[in-house]
Amino acid sequence: MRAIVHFVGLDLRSMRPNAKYMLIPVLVVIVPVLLLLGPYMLIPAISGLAVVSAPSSLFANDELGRLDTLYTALGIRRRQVVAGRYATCLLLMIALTVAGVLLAPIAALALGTAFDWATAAALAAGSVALVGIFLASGLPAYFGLDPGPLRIVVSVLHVAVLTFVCVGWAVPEVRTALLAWLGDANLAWLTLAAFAILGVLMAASTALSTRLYAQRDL
Amino acid sequence: MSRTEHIVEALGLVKRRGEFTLGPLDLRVPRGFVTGMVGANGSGKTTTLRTLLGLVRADAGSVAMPPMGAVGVAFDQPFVLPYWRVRDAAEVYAASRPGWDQDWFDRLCRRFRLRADERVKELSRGQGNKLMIALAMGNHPDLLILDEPTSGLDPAARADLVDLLREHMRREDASLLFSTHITGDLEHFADYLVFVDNGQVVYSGALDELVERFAYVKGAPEDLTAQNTPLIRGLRRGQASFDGIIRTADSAAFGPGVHLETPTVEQIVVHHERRNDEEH
Repeated sequence: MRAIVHFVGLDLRSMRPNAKYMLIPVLVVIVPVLLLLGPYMLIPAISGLAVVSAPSSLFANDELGRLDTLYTALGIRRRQVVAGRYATCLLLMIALTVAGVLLAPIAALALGTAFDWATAAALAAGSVALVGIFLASGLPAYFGLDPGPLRIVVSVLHVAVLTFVCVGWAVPEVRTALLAWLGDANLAWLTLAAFAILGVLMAASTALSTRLYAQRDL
Repeated sequence: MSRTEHIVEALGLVKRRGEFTLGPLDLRVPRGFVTGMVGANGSGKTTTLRTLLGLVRADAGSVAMPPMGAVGVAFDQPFVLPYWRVRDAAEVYAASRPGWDQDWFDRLCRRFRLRADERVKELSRGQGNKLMIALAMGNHPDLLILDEPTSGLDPAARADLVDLLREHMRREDASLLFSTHITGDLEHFADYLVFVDNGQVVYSGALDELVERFAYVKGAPEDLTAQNTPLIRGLRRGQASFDGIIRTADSAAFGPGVHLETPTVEQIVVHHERRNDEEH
């Protein structure tokens, strides 16, 4: 556990100098989402950045600094690298989702629109589930494949699905139906079920990544 | 030498990469000594080191190594982020390496003329090597594994680095395994030698025994006979002379006019590789 916490610290340190560049996609996303889709959609949009920006930035750093060699030289085992990288991505996903939840009511206030915390909480839980699925499906590609077009294809697919979700929200009938469904559903059980499924997916994904990364020549 | 006297022991190591195959090779690094690994570019030195460290997955064989906390590693290119400063890299090592000695690292940086606030990307190739060596040595590891540590260094810096490594080796049980294609680095420094050629270990043993096992032979063309010519490795024929390397055991095949002398490591390596060129 200590090794994983240490690795997360190493990951965050490696991202620190590039943090300002990660603000650019945040700003690029916030303005059109806010104007076109309203404040609620800030939550999945900002949360989605975790899957678009974080893994690509972290793995790009690995290649830039030959950090796979560094991890070995520091005595960090491959399975600890995998577990640590998953922990970093999940941490960033949660942090960005919280940022989205905090920004959404401020945006609603600025735009003079109504804001319902229950809807925001449901969207936050849905965002975490969706982005979690993206991470679970995408990270094995980063661990198993050498840098190249296939990794980019995975990222593009994720952006496409995320865009599809956001655009779907823009359709009034879809939005009304989703809000009605959320209103009828038992949100506590729904959230619990979503997180249980996500937990299983993450465990399977981590196991696959560990296996793929163990077979790679670094 | 028993198993416990080797700090690294690899048995039956095989790694296939396209058409290149490393091994199968057995490699033993004696504890408390300097072992130099020599061979031409592309002979498999770096692949061997990376396989020992687990960076490259072996297709077959086993490796026994000390825990990585007791091993300092430096390759011929830095493996830290280029926009990190020297002190950032040191902080990362300090947080991970057991027994990190910051005073010692600072002394090494002063010796290598590295400033704490310098960014890695601003360092020359030689300075980058020095930084990685300082980081590798920062916790006084039992085993240092250095890949081409002197490449990119001027002669004075190379001599200084050898002096530093000698000082490191004064510590009881300190061991050093380093690869080089500069055979001059080995003379008067390495105790043991591993000569790798085309993915195979040609020689592994004491440096003194290597130079005793071979002789540098030089003579006039008329001294060459159908019997002794095949015994010469890397035979170089000139207008008035020939030279090459022979096994000391084959000395009797050459007449009194042929001059025999103790070879340098470079002569053995160069003539061996020339023989390979001729065969190919």
